[in-house]
Amino acid sequence: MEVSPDQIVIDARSPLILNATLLFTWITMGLLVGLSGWVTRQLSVRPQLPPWQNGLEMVVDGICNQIREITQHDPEPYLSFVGTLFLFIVTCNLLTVIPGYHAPTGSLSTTVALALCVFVAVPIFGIRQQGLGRYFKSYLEPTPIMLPFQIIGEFSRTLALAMRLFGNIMSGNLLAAILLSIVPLFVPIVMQLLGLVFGVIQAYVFSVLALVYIASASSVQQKNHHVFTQENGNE
Amino acid sequence: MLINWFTVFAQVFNFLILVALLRWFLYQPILKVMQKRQTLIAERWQEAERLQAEAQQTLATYQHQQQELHQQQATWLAEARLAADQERQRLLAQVRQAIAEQRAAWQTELHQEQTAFLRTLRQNVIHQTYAIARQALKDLANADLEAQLVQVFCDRLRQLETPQHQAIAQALSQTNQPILIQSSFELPLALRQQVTEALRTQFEIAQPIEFVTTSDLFCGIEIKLAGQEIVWSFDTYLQTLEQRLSNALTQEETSHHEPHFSAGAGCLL
Repeated sequence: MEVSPDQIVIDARSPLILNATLLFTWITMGLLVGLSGWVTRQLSVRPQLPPWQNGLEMVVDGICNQIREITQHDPEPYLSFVGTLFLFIVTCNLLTVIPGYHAPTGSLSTTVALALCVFVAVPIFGIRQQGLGRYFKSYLEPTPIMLPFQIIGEFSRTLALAMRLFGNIMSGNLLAAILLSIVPLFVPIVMQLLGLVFGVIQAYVFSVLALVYIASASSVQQKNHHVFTQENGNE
Repeated sequence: MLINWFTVFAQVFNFLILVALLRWFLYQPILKVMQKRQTLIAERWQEAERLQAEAQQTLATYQHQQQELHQQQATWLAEARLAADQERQRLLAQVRQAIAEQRAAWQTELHQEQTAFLRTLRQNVIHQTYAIARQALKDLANADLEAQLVQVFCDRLRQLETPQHQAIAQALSQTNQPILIQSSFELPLALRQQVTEALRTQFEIAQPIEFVTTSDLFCGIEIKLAGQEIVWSFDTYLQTLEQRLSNALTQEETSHHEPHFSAGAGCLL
């Protein structure tokens, strides 16, 4: 039994080994991009919207509202990054209901990659919002003694971010597999439904945490300090 | 090892590509169309507010015009009533005048008809009375009306009062004009001689005597002597009868009293 879809090799002949994580990531990307491109090729400005456009607008507007509520700021600069995080993770998690689909988020490589993206994105957004000196000066506050702890905190929260998502998805898949072998009827279905709920929640948690990290590094850091603290406490 | 670093970097690359693709295919178009819709709704909202303001202004204008119209309506109504009243008064006066004119014309016509009727009646009464009296005298008294009339006339000439006699005699002495004797009937020769003898007996006459039959004189005889006239006829009776008939026709239309004709004496003028 494979713990991670990285271990499922699709094509080993090529110099770069193609595993299930990459394959299903591409499938998910293709699905997301294809659906978006198909819906947005004929957008209507009038209030009578096609159902697919209405659904996508609800999703995008919901993400924008969440970003606005958390950052108290214009959501557009964060929308592409945070929204893609949420959509990719939630799509991967929801597609696990399809037999044979291996969620890329069940791979520690994927979650690490996403966490690395967040890790890099935080200083990028912070420097863009505050400037280079002011951003790095924030690591010396309230006292330079806290600099090592700040750096450790940056790495630890990135690691926690990756491990949380990986652990939840991987454990959900493992639990479903174990229950399927023990109780093949009815219980796996309930566990699959619970897995869908957990998948959505984990996507939301990952995205919100990434947003909080980015927002804490930006000019709105002080406004959302209590949120940041609360989220770290939950970890 | 659960972490495949090749996969990690590949996933980082994949994620960045996905961010770019979704930004291009999803976020920008959706945000753009939402922004357009928001702008459209805002424009429509402003347009609706502008139209509402215009509608309010138009409503206020209409209400003001309606109020002015009501006031004008009251004014016009009062003026129309005044004009109608004046027109009614004018028409009433015109009608009264027309009625008065028509009444006057009718009264004139009635008066003319009454006059014509009285004239006709007078003629008929004259003829009938004359015929009846003549026939009655002939049947009852075996007398001729004309002869009796001339006889009475001659008697009256002989019985003239002194002042009248003197006036006529004086007038005859001062003129040479012929003496004209008019009668309503043709006087026979005997009667002419009787009248001539009566005149010559009473007055000294040198003038010639002419006898004329005339229709103006009814049942009577008239002598014109030097500006003096001596008449003996039915005219007085007929005038009385005509006066009574006229009074009966003009004043007492509803009264049905029978006209009574009293015989009156003739007169000598």
